[in-house]
Amino acid sequence: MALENRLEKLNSQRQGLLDDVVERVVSHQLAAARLGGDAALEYVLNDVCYEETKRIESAGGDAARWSTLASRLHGMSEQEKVLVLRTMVSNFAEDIVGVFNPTAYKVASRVIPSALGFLLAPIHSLRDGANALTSMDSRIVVGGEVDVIRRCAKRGTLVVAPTHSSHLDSPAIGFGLQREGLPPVTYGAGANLFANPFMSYFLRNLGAYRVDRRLKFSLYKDVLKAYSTVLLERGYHSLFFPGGTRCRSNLVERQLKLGLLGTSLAAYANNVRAGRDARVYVVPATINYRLVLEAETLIADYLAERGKRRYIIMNDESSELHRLVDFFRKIFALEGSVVVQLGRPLDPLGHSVDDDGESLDRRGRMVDPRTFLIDSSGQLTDDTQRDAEYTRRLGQQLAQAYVPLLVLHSTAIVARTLWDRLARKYETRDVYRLLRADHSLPVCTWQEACLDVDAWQAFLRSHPAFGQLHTTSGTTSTTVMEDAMRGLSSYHTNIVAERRGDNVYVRDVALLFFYANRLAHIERLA
Amino acid sequence: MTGALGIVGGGRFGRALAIAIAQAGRDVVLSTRDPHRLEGASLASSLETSAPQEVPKSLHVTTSLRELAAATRCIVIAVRAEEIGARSLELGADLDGGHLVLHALGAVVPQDGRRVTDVLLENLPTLRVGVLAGPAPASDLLAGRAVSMVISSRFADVTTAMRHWLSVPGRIRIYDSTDLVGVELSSAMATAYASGLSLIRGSDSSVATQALLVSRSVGEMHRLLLAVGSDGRAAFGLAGLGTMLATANADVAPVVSSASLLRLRALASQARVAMPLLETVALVANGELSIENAYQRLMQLPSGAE
Repeated sequence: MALENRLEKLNSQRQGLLDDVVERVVSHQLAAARLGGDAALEYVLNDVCYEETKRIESAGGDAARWSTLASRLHGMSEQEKVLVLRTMVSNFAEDIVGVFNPTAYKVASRVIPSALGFLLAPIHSLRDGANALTSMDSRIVVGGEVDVIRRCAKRGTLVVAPTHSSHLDSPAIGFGLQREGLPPVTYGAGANLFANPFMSYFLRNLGAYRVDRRLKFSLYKDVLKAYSTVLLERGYHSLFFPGGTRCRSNLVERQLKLGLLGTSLAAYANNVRAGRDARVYVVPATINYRLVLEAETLIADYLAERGKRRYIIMNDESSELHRLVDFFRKIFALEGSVVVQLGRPLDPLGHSVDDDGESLDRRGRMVDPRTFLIDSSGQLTDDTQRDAEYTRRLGQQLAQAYVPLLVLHSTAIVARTLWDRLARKYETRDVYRLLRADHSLPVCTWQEACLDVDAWQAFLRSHPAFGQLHTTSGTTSTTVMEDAMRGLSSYHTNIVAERRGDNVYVRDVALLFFYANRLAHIERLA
Repeated sequence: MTGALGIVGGGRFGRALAIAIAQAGRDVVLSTRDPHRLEGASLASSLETSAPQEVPKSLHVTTSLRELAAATRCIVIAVRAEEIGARSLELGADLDGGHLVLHALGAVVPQDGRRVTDVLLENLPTLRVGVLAGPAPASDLLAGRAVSMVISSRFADVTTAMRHWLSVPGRIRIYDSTDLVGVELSSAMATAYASGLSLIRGSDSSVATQALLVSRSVGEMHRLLLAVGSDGRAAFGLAGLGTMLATANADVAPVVSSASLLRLRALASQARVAMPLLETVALVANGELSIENAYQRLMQLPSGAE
């Protein structure tokens, strides 16, 4: 039986949510402003004007509105500044907050997967057509601690926190949760996604809230965090990508962004202070693709920027309809193309939980998370520094939880195999040197690659802490190699690697690096 | 201040600290396996001091960790490093997430070389842990002489609360640091270096030699701290230099177990930091090198930039 869809209350509570968010942010800013210094209202408002002026002018726009406001700030009374603050916060909140349309949800969750399956499967007969209608189920596979998560969802509020590789992550995990009878989640979607009218309709009407990552000033982040906190307090299951943006390098995220993650503890603490017995659970999850839709753009950006995340990619493969269709046709043609692996939930302090959602310390003893919020005199206190430390720990535990949840497709294992061979051949693992090397000669023989794949499979079978083998890509090294080679030559603009006779050639070093990075957490096989 | 300060461990330092804090009028609960050491005449002799000692009325002694956990929210653990695993596991059964815990061990865990706070985080339910370190010999605490110590924790509320408990105007000055790794490791290494200094002093070496050893010891500590992610300043502070000087000159010669020295050397090796002084102290402590030969060995090492 499906769990309660709490998002259905979102519309009726929308104004209340907005009012709550505005009140909290304004109160917090005014309290900080009373201490003076950099928290003075004038500086907070000027920060907004400065950043917006810079952003708009660098995009060639007219920022007169912001520069005019900035020039007026110094002469304003405190009352006028408070009014400006309230108006700004209300506008940001209004832009962020989503709605939930039950009809749109029905369409998205029931009709579209079948329609897509029908539209995009190779259809040669009526039987194929009938099969295609129900085929999406086998394309996206969900595994892990589903039962425990279901129990936690009844007891409290979930924060699903997956790894982030692709814009398809949100629909993939949304579909996966819904198919397993888990409740729908609200989540922050990048403003650039709303530029696509098709995606915008569904994002908006499925409770997604709009996050404009171009807005760098702290006031906007405060509004976002307040909204997330209010949602969680009120029991709306949510999803964040703690890595922030899509991981350009395809490495498993290790350094997580703690801003939104910290709202899980803030919401829990507010519930405790209000006497509400409502837990918050953070669910680690990995989303594992045989092939990644936007791989070419992502790795190109990573290599160009050396891992910095300053640029937001506005247009990539996901915004080109023909690439999207091509991706679905070729990639979703295979079962288990996408594996969503859900881990055992953590509490907002990073403790694991038992099957009933009770927090456990590292020795397996039950602990009451409320006790972590009391001070040395036994009082419940609001302590920002303490809570920041707890959230830092949660981030560490979450990052550690991802690795055993990885499901490693043939493409990742073979890419890593070939990468190691390449590195050995050229005596360097420096990707920039390998990009410049001459790859007209084979990197290794087919037999050598198969032996290496055997070794990787044996290692992963005996070390599940490093990830699990994807089972449908085959069990022998030959079938794994063949499956990977098919994948690595089927979708991307360039062939990544190919077999010619008894030899294997690398054709696209950047993409090979991208897929190999999925196993970068394993330094070397013995 | 409500409640009481808990101290686990009835060794020299644990008892001296408990008495000093209780003498300041604060309630203290001391958990020790041997409460007789705080009874009457045995107290003075067991603390190796001639000063008459009376157990203050506000000091309650118990063998029960459960009783200590129930009566206190702030706890200092002062057991032997070899016992920290077992004792913290035992204590953990009675604590909750609201307890604040410092350790004053001045060592790494000799069995496996781990930092003591890592052991506490594994064995205790609370996450709010830290370290208490610095030049505060038991004899000075008991004699009412001014001492100073440093508290380090990732949690500001631990530092604040423990400072309230442990600061005694005119007697105990408390400083704080956010560099938990630095303070903890400095404190562990300082005792090791102090044992070397103590040996050298005992062999009538010159002041210049002692000065060389002190400053180069601090230099080695600093290098290791930087290598493990600390900002390094703790080497020059109370936990590092302060502890080294106080311990080397204490009435009771510092004792560092071979196991501890072995672990510290392994840590240095893992961090790929050359620490010839530490190596030499270890060889002398193990009886593999005489003091004279140790000195010669050190003088033959190349000297580079400071």
